[in-house]
Amino acid sequence: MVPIFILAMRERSIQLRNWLFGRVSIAPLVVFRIVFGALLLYSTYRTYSQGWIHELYIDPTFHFAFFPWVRPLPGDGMYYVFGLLGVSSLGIMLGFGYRICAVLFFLLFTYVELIDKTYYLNHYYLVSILSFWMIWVPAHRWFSMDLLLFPSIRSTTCARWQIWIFRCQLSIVYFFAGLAKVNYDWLYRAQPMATWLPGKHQLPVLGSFMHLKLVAYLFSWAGCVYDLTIWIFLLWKKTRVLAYIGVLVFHIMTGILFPRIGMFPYIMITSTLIFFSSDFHERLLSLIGGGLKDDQVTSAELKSVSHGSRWPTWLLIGYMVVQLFLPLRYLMYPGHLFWNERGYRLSWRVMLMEKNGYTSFIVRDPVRDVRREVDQSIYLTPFQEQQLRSQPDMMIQFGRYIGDRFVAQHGYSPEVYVKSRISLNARRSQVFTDENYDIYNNSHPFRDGWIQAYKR
Amino acid sequence: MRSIVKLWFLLIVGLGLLASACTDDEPAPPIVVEPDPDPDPEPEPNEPAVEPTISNLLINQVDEVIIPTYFDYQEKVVSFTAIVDDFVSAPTESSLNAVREAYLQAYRSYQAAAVHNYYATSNVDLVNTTNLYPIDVTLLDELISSESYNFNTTAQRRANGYPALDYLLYGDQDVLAAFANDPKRTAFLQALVGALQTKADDLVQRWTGTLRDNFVNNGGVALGSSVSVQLNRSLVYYEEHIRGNKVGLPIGRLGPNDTPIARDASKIESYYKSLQDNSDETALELVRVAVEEMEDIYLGSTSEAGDGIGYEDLLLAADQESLDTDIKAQYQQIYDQIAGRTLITGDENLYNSIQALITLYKSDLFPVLNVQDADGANDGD
Repeated sequence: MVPIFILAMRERSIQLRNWLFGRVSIAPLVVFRIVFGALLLYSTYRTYSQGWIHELYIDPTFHFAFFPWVRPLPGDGMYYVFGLLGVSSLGIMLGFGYRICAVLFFLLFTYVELIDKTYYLNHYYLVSILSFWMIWVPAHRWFSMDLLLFPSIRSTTCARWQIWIFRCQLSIVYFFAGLAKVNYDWLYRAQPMATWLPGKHQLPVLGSFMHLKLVAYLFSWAGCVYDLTIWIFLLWKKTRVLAYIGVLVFHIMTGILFPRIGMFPYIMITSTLIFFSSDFHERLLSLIGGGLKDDQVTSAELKSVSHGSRWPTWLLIGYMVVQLFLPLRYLMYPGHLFWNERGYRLSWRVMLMEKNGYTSFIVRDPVRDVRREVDQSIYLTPFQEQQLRSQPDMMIQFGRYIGDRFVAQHGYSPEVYVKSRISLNARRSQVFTDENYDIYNNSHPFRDGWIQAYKR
Repeated sequence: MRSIVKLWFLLIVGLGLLASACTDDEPAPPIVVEPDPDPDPEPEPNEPAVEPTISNLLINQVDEVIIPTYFDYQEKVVSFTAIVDDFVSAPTESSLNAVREAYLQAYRSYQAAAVHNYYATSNVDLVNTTNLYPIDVTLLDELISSESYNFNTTAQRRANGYPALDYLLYGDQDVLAAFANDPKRTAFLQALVGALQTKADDLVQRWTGTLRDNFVNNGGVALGSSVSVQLNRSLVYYEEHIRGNKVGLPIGRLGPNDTPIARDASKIESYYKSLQDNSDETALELVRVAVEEMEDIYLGSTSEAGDGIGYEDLLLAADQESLDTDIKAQYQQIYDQIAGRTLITGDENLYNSIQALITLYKSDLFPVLNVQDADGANDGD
């Protein structure tokens, strides 16, 4: 029994490995490299032209770093970082010094994202992930400037996993974004759509319907079904074209309705092109002069079965397990996810909540017995204050920072309290934090029940 | 193709079941404020028979709350100017007292005008040119003796408006003699009051001009709509000036945590009069007038006219009686706190009651009305 079972497993794993490392046309990767690189270039330029480099990374005196040692560079340093991001995205697009540019882009972009939780966006996380995988795929081996320098790297094929890793990743993004919408507020209260849509009444044509509750329900349900299933229809050849039209309509619509989601629609519209077949991409490339001739792709190279070694397969599987785990990790924490937001990030939860409220920090000087409310605007930008208002881990960071400053000034520890009331998805507000719990001198606020239980 | 349709159908049904499995026992239906006229008005016995819509709210706000406030302010300032002129031509104890009385009337009216710190009012920089305190006495004396002043400059902010008048009218042991001995002081007084009048005239002209219609036509509740601007900007004024400058700073409650913690009575509004009175009653009254104007916006009423469409009516139309009760109770608590004290400094109860209203607005009123907080202008998701 046992040996047969193991044999069957081994057989399966060899099949999987052969499939993953089988050769396929490189065209989808090359197109992905070009459009994604162009998008990264534009996105970098946009950040610069909006003045965000200064506003987000140079102006603030305090940052909600993901790790205490990640800080913005002093002086004009951040401008150089974004300059390098621009150069490397151009390099990715042109396939010029591709690997170096991909590594550089991934590292710098991720560094920038880790500087401040305030600016965390799921699609920036996605850009980090996609640019990470760009490092490991040979997208520069066809129709690139690197070929002028190193003609020998020319290749018309790549391993199958190098295309499927992107398809799987994007499917995960959609699926979990959809799964997150399967909740009472989204489907039965049409929240937060019913809060946001009436504000869009000035849009042409659509605007006059935006105040209707029915429209909010329609958007909520359609969005949920779309996210849950679109990847299936993109994978399925018969429905692919229709599904891609759906992608266009859906993301352009959300881009118009919610301009603040920024680059997200464009990232999805361009990256989902990778779901299309090699034929499609080959034709696309031939339009811009990078066509692969039929005989080249069906050459011996394509048929040659390269046996990937065992560990890359396991790494790929491991990566997928992590990707499936991260969005579900919230189940390990007690309490209401939308309320305490533990396990909320890195989970493809987009547009799910409208949280409003008021949060103040009170510093008590135990020696002189005086309490003082911190004027947050002295330390934080309005954007940081807004994000701080409802995110407990940021509250703890800020409370500790304020306390540390007090210690530096007075030489002894203050007590720091957070008084907060929050409203979730247009309900009446509730007490959010225990205002008598000192977050400066206690090290485990979450464990100690500092966040008040959410009352339905 | 049929199988796809079937798949979608199954999926939608499945979703419904799944979501209902994690049902929330939710009694109150979600609220949508409709930007368009509501078809079924239900006039309450004592309410005007006007539907609680955004556009009716805006008409009432601008015609019954905002513009009358500026007319009143203009009237008080015009009369103040005339009384100052009388005083200058015949400086006596009684004409000085008349000036002081007119000053207080104008200052009170200013408090209401300043709450509407948006559109024209913020454009003419009313607050910064009229009521920054504490003043810089050295700067003020320099300006008086130099005889060159421009009341619209940033450089002169700390020697301008009502705080400067407070010093001129109450800052000396013998104010009458101070004016009699220094004609430059009299000239400064006249120029300053003249500048206040110019600004008041300007405000009336702007608010009653095209702005009035623009205000009414800028409907909806999105960022940049009149509702969003009025609620957000008046609340910012309330936070910074009423909570912060009028109360928080003097009691040492608000500020950077790493500067020495101290109460500073010199930061009080109408400081010199308070010194003379040996009581903060004037400062407290100014707080009360300002808070009352906030409440007028909320109720949609002015003290003279009856109750028109205010944010309260939008709440009631959305079945939020309990929130309305809480907000009105909070206003009452602030008035009770003011009535029960003679000093701004002392305990922190006044500050806390003022603060509690901000919490109610931001965490309850705004979300229920679908009004977004105006903070932050970057991408979000």
